Amino acid sequence: MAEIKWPSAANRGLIGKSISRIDGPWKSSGRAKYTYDQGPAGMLYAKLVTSPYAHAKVTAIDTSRAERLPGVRAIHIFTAVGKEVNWEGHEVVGVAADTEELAEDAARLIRVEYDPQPYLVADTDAQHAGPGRFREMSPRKTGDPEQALQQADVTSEGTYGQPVITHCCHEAHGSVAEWKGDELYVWISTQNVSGLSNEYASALNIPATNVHVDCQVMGGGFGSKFAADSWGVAAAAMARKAGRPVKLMLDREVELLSAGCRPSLHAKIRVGAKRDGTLIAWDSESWGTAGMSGGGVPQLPYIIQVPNSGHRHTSIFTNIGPARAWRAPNHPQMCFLTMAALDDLAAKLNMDSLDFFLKNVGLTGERAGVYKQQMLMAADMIGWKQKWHSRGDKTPGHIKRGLGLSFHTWAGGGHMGYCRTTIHPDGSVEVATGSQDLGTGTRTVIGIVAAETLGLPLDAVRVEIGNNKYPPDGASGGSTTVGGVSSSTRTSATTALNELFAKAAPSLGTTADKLEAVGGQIRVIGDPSKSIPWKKACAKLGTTPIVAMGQRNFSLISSGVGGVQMAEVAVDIDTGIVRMEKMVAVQDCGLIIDMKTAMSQVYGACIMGTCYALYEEKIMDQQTGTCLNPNMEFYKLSGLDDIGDITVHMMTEDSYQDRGVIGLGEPPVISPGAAISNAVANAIGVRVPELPITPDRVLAALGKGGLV
Amino acid sequence: MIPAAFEYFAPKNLDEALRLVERHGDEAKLLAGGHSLLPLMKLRLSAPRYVIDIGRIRALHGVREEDGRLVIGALTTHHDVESSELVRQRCLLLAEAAAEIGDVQVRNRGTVGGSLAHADPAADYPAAMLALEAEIVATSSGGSRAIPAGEFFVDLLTTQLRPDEILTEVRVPVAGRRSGGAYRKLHQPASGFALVGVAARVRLGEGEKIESVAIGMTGVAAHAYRAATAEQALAGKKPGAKLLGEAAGRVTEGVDTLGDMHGSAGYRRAVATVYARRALEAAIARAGGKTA
Repeated sequence: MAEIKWPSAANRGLIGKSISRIDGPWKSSGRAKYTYDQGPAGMLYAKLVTSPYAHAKVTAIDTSRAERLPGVRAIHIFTAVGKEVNWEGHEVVGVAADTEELAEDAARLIRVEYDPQPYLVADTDAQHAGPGRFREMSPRKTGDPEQALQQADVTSEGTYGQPVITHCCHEAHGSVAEWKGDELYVWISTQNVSGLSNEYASALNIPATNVHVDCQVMGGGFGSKFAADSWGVAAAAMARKAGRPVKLMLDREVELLSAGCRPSLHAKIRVGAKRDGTLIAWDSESWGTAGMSGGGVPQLPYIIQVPNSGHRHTSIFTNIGPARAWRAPNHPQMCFLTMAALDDLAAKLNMDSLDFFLKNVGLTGERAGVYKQQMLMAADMIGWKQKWHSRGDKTPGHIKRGLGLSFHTWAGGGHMGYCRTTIHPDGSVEVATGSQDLGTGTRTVIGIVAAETLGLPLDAVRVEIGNNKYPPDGASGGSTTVGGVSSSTRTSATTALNELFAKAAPSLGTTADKLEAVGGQIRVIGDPSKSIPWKKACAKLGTTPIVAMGQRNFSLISSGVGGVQMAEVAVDIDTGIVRMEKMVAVQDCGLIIDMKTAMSQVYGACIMGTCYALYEEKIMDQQTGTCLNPNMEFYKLSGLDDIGDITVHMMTEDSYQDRGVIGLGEPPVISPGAAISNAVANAIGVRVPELPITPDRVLAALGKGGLV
Repeated sequence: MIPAAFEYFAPKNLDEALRLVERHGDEAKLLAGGHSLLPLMKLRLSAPRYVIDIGRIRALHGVREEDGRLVIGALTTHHDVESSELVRQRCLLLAEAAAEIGDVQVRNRGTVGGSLAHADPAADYPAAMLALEAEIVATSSGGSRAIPAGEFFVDLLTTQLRPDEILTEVRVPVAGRRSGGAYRKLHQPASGFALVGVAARVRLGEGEKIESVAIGMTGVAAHAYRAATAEQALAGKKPGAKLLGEAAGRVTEGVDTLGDMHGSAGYRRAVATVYARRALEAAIARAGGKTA
């Protein structure tokens, strides 16, 4: 009898090995078709007319000239006359036409009149935001921070912050919608294949049963693609109006303006410690914007529970753009503020930053032991003790080097979901779930779990995901996918296998509870000579396949991880250019299904983190309320040459693996900003208080006149 | 990202091209490498009625030496300049500037004439041509005129060229003995344009003193310029770290410095000093027969 619990380390054939993704060749050869690649016969192209204003009321819309243009097939109003737009790029009208060129021409012929309204695109000053533009959230306090600051031997005070950034997914938002009768078929780049039908159904007044969603591959979402969005619904509405399929993909400009912002967060922080480095006081006043919505209240300090701590937060309502969840919502911001403030305190204490954080690691609570182990391991990997120097690299020359560290936590867990395993009489196997692979390796992980469970090679299992005709699976958010799909797959495959055992047992002269599936054989436990090949066992099914469902199973998954990252940077103090030379990432994530894709997640997170640490900012023009860099030339991400050496270590001791599967997408992207900022401070002897650490901010911090 | 409609001509020789620019003048744009014109058209910042593609005019390609000068055809690509043995031997500064332009694709398609005629405030060649005291030859059906580089760049994206003229070649004086030049540049990371580009040319004279010096600056102001006060500070003096530092500190003196999202005016002034010092150091080392 096969058990649902995970096999022990000695009995894992595939789980935990470093396995290349099963869809790699399919993608790299270009055979994988992304949403953008879909082109059903007769497809129309849609373009948007968007607001040039940060805040305005729409007073008139004239689409008549566009409608008269031959080849224009449908018009869709997103923002009706009398309604408001709240950021530049806010969608107002859509138009679908025979060709992309025609759609652009038609969009240009549409006249929208606006009554511009007062706007706010600055998030750095809550006090002067103006009436109705800010909200003070309820303060939190433990102990007596003011008294503790008075009693502290050493205190440090600083103001730190990071601006609004975007998701900048490689693949823009969008969909292709096609109607067959009153059935809607959509190809959409989404993190939520199984969850979209209700949104379409209510918007289009059709039953959810008539909505068919497909997303086989996608180019990233990072938290910005949970919904069909107004533009997804518009594609379907225009397709219905025109009687032809419609493709509506956002262009890069609208993508960066309207498809999601990560909230900013700034804070003035005071911290205090005893002479020996023991933290006793924290007080912070933070502010930031999540667009026109309030956003959450950040938990400061991050992870480290300082005995006496107070925190107040003010949300600023701005027209910078709509906030969406961004890979580990709020954590990178809270982490940066906390780790930077504490690192500055360590410098004032004349302590090695590593010693300081180790000294206070007990304040992190239940994961203190994990962090301590990870800090020592990371320090060893980067050569902390050999390379460490106090603030300011004193070696001659214009290149200064420094070290910085940070650590983080995330929950993980597993979302609700179902999986269906089918074992066919010819021996072939299919596992199907309405999940999605954001590019993380979900398809591969499902295959590995099913193959491991059934004792088969990976290529003997066919994995079907990315369509809502399969058993529903949750949205991929919060690093919950791997927990959800691995446990539902394990459960359904085990159930199916036990049914097969029941069919095969008589021919082996035994009962199902005495059987196991190993190496493509069904065999008697403890007597491997008594076995039959997988195919022969399946042949006993006659004509009816085994179909078994499974669902998310909490006994197979867990929640809560820790990670430590260290960065080494080189700063050119003549030009202010920072280069991330080396990063070390030590990460715990429970039972690892595929070491290769797990490590890829961490590598990718270190790169994404380097981007927001050094490059990313949605730059707003205060005079016009518009964004100055809504393209990938001026919203510059790192190139290959900007990324130094990244070394990843995953914690795989039994104590970690025994916890079961835990998600990994988010945690490793939390620390890079803090680690790099701390390393820059260590290199040049002074804190660059804002992210991204651009060259002119470095020169300004050095007092070399970088800023005007 | 789709340009407005236009009419396209592809003349096979210069005469034919000159007749076309004479006829269509203001409503026409010349297409060489297309690296500036095509993006502008796609963004609809430029919507010329006529596009005259001069790429097929063989006579405008190539580098030759003539009467102590390098003569570079307007359609010579950056890659051809960068890799020309003749240019590397006679004028290393120019080869260096070409090698710093954009990326490989840009250098394979972009042309000397296109870059100079477009006069982007952050393009590399203008600084080099100023430091080299080159002449830029403009041809119309009425004949040719040679415009000194120092007079060619008028303002942002504006040159001395008239609508009926085609930039046909550039003439660069070949450096004599005891001369050295260098180009040093801070790239804007995405586009590869110069946040600051400095071309320095130095001739050493008696007693190792600086006999003549020219410093061309790009990326810093609305158009490329000569850093005259810095040049004056150096002329006739014996180079040393202190002098170079002082002179480099003056390269933006009296200049209305650009500030934008790639770098504030203050940042540009700070790095202009750094790169001017680096360019001067290399140029002086080369003039003294050292490699730099």
